[in-house]
Amino acid sequence: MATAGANKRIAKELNEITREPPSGMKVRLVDESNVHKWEIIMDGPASSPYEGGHFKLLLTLPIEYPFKPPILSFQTKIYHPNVSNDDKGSMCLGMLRSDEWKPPNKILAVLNMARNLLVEPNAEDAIETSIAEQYRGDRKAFEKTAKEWTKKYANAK
Amino acid sequence: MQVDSPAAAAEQIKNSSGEIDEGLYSRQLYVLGHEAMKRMSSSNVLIVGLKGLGVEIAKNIALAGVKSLTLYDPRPAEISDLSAQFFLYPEDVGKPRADVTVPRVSELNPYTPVQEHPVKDLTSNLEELKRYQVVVLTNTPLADQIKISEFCHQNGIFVVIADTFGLFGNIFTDFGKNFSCVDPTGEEPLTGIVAGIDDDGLVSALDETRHGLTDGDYVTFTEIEGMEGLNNAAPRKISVSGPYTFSIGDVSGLGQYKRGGLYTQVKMPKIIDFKPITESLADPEFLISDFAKFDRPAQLHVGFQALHAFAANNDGKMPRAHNDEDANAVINIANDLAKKAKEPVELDEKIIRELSYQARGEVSPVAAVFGGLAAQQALEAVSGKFHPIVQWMYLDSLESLPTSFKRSEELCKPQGTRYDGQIAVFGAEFQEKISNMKQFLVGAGAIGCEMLKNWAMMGLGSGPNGHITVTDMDQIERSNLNRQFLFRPKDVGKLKADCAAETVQKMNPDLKGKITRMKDRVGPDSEHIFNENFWESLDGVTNALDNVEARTYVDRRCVFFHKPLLDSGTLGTKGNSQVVLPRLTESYSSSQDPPEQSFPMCTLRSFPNRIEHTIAWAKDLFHTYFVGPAEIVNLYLTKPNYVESQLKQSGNEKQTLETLKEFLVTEKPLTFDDCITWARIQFEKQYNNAIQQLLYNFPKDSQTSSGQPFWSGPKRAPDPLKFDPNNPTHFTFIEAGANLHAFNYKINPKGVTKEHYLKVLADQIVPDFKPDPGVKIQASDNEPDPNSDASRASGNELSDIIASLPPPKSLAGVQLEPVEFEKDDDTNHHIDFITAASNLRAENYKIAEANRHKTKFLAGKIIPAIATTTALVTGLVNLELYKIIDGKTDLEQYKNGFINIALPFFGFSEPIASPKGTYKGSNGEDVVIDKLWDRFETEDVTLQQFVDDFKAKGLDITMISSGVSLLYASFYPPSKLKDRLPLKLSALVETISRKPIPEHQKNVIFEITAEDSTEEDVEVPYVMLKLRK
Repeated sequence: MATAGANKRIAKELNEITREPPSGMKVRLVDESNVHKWEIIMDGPASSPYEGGHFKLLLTLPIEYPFKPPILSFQTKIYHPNVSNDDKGSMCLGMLRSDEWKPPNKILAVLNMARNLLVEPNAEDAIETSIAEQYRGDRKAFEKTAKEWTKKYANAK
Repeated sequence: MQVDSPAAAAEQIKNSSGEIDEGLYSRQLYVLGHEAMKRMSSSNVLIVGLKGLGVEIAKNIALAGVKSLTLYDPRPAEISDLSAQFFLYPEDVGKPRADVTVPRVSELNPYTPVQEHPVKDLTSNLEELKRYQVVVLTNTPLADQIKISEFCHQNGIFVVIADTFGLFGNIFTDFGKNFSCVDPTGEEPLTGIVAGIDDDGLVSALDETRHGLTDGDYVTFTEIEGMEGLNNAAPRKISVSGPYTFSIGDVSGLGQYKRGGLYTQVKMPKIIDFKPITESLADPEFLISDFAKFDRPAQLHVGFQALHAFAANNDGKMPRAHNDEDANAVINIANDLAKKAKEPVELDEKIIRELSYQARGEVSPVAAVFGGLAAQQALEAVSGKFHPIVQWMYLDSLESLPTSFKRSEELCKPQGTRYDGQIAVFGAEFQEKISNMKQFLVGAGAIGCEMLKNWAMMGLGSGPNGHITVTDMDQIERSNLNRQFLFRPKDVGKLKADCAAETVQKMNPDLKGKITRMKDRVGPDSEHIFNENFWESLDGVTNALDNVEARTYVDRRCVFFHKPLLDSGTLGTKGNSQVVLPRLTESYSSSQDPPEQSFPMCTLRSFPNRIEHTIAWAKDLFHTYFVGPAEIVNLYLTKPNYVESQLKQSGNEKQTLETLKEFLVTEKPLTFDDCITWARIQFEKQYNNAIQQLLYNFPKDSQTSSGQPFWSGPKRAPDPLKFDPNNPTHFTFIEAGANLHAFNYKINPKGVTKEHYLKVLADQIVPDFKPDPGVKIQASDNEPDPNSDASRASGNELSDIIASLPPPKSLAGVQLEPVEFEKDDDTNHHIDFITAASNLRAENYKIAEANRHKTKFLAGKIIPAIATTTALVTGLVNLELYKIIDGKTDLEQYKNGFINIALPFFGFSEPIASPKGTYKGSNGEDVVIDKLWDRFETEDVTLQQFVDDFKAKGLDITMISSGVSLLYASFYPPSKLKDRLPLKLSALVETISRKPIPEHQKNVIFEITAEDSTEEDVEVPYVMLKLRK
């Protein structure tokens, strides 16, 4: 059950992020009837293979938030070792893991971490092990596919 | 909780057909383990004295299960016994207590035979006691206690002595010389992954994970490379050098540590020397039960002896209630004893006077506390499980005495009613107040049953204005009978609230017509039942719940309606109680339990290293096979245009379609043999092919980019399994899998023999697997990924699949049967499948397997429970209830309790005051608010008016939300605001949430964030909109 305090905290964070949006991102509620679902449009960072792409992410805040971590998923397909290549597009490393999440962490930090991962994937802790292998072993091929996907799915010109 | 090997112990806890009755003992087994229960079931226990305390102990021991339970109390029942003796009814007054009590206790557990002690006089022939392993004494003169206890000490019989006088109680234990306590903590042994061991024997845990060990613990090692001599060697005693490191001493000659390894804590038995009673009386060792009263045990030790001495001088009669002549006599004796004590004791005369005042009193909550504790001591004596009390414990709850009601000799003297035991302590005026309380009990499970028993004895709600409402949506199940003692086997299937109310009305006929029973879950869905009128009619609320969600909900309602709430809970040997007082304390939701442990998906998918990981994976697999697909198929068959609507959704249309194709066409079984074949293929996929592919991508010698071995630390390298029908785990996977698959398709597996399975398996050709070098993108390491080229799935491909599906119309009436997970049915193959699936994966990764019992515990998220903890915690709750009834407002008088009877540990703390805050009002003045209990109220004004109203209070609203809907934010563009500001609040809520406000709802809650004139964010209470309908 969502406690009133949790919703208030979410509202506060939304207020902060809306007033000072993180660079390269647009954040809004999917629907005002539910503060637990946020939509993020993330621009692919410059000089990454994702440059020029606009990635839609869904941030879901569990009812236990902030005692459980947000769930972050890419709605736009992306070729990345840390994003599951399935219909979920989930990202689950670092502070997004329930055993590493701490209630003082904020959504802003989560979003910044996700964007940093686009610049620098973490192949050591990959969910897509074969993409990670390629990233380490054949960076060129990796970047080629990543760019292709960005173009194909993320509206890159 | 420790869960040990069941096989060895199983035969000891047998029912008539020679089978262990795990159905009945299930929840207790998870606390005690089979080994301890085995020892209990070969022990004979005697309980002396059958007033409230004695019967409470008898109940708890009978429920726990021992070889035999014998009761002794030939004295005739008195009317005042009924204040706490729940197995004596009004018509029993005058009959020998044991005669009446024995048959009622024997109904509690068919495996615990109960009889009367055959000898009339306990002390005339002590040899008779040799038939028992434990003797528990209550209501026994001190001289007899000493005689019996000394005899038992000589003869290796364990002794537990307990006494209660009003709000005071004590326990003494003597388990003899060299008592071996095999599990002093009750905690699961700690285990972890080794990151390194240096030449000085300093062990570091992996990845900065806290090892949790303490100095003097013992550990063993496995799987260490280099220093192999440590593997499976004798346990090493450790000293802790930091949260992530510990030292195991000398490791010279063991070589150089290379890599890997696991450490596991080894529990060492603790040997305890108990002194005989005479010696211990003179030189007592106390367990401190309340650190706020650290000097009290020594005083009460003297006081209790003084009471016994007084009784010995007065024909065995305790001092009269609230009588000063008798109290002075007791004080004199006590002063004498205090002077003679080995260590001088300074007496607080007031306390000894109270002890004397209350000596004839007996109150049910104190009997519950000491009955739970004393029974636990008796069980620990025979089982060696958990740490006993050594050797004396005293506890009082003087804070429970009323201050708003008068007490005097006149008011405390016997009135000839069943409440005389309680009246002796509190006086008749307070008794009347108790009887006219209106309480709401949420839950009639373990705590609920104990609560109602206490209330029946207290006479709560029995008066002309009194009332009890109890609600529980559950029906009685067999595994409840082991501790929910108001229920009998014949009641299985009945509603708990009904049955519990019936039973306690028998215990106290004054409650007839005073208990409303309901079967509604208290929650947002039942607000039309538990409506405003209902809540307002209550004096107080008591939770007896087993989940956080419901607790939180009730807590919020209590905060909203300003009702006092008592909450409590147990987990095995641990328990807690909390008092919530309107406008005074924090509420239940003010503090948060740590969230339930969950595992990172990546670990479950590819890199399990603990059995908990493989069990979680197996539960997922269970869902993936037997629940999800059948639900999708049913949607396809029943929902018009399911495929079309699915296709519109982005993402997993291909997976959904393939599932449909698989379950409706390609893999659809026609016979049970097809189900066997299907299960065999799944085995191959999960435990062989997926592992081969993983090892193909990451060979065992592969390295990370930093040159470290890829398979190291928490990543354990797997090996594929080769199917062997004669391996019981392999076979169970096939058997359970085939049965559950058949269940989905309503295929009857009746009469299929093991031979038949083996024949089908032998005839089946399983295709060889070759790792696919072309697999570039692999979504999952555990199963061939149906989405691997989802991105490239062309429209044609999808329409091809759709075309291959039989149109729903052609299958009119066909439905699959999704499996509904049920852990407590041993014939439904659910836990069998999960156990096999988990253990096979454990075999892949060389993780120690878990038996069915432990798998059920973890997969079923079973809450372990024992009757003694529940009785004790419920007693503590009711000691607080007295204070609430009295209307105390001084927080220092209240206690929240935290106990762990395994250690044993008692912690009491004053409830935390509700948080207060301030903000600057419109005139710059400080406004103090109670952040929890205060609220703003508003009429159904327009949003504009609402914002203006707060502006006038000095608060600039930045956001307004209601439930999960965001109604207003100051950063909204003017165009949006223009539409919203003229809306009335109720209309605003309905517009944004797109749901009408339910008819029965008389108010809506808004959360606001606001800044005061200093432009600082201030914490403000919520706002309640009162609707007038």
